[in-house]
Amino acid sequence: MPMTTTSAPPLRSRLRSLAATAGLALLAACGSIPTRTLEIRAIDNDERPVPCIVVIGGQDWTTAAQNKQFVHLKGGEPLRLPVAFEHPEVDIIVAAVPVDEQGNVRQTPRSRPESTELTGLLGDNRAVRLTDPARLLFVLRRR
Amino acid sequence: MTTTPLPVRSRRDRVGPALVLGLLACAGCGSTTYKVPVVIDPPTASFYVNGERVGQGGRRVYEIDFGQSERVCIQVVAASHEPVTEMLTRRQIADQLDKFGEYSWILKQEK
Repeated sequence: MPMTTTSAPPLRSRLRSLAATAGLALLAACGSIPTRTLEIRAIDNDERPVPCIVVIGGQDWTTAAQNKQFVHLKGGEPLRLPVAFEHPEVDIIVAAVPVDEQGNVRQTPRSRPESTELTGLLGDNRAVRLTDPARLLFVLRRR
Repeated sequence: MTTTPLPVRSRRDRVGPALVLGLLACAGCGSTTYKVPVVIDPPTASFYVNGERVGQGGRRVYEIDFGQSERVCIQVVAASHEPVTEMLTRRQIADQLDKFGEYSWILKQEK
């Protein structure tokens, strides 16, 4: 009667599967877009919080508004926003928005000139790198 | 029946990995703090590092810590003056201190 034995997979096979797993993991790590949560605040020259819209990397302003990318509508709390770094630098625009007494946006600007027209404040922008500090302060000047 | 004694790890075997781990930890921290003499006009201006207010205008020495970042964000803000924002690398700070020994920000008055 033949004897059946169970043996461990040969070393070469195990190494091959280990290398394949490592390769896939490396591919996944390289292929994914790094994301970082940024903490955004905006003030004026008098260092008072300014209600603003935050537009990320060439994003459409209407999309930014739909995503509720606003800061300081009702207080001094920063906006915590996850940002995907598809490129080494991501341009962030922060522009003032007009608000009513309850902190509701009266009109969403669709560009920096329109924001200036509505609020009298000049927008601020910055090219942010993945390795920059996560806390960002934008300072808006009067026109 | 003979048994093979387990190998006794020498002190060198234990110290080696610990040393490597320690060095890696230090390299990982890599925090570099610079003592930077700063002159700001007007004296009423606020001085911000990475979005945090750290002091006022005038002549002072600040400790600027890069932590894990490649750049720090320096901002100077004063009422009725144009604000200044600069992203500085360690190299830029070191070069500036080598050449001039300090940083100086004189804010322009708003028109």
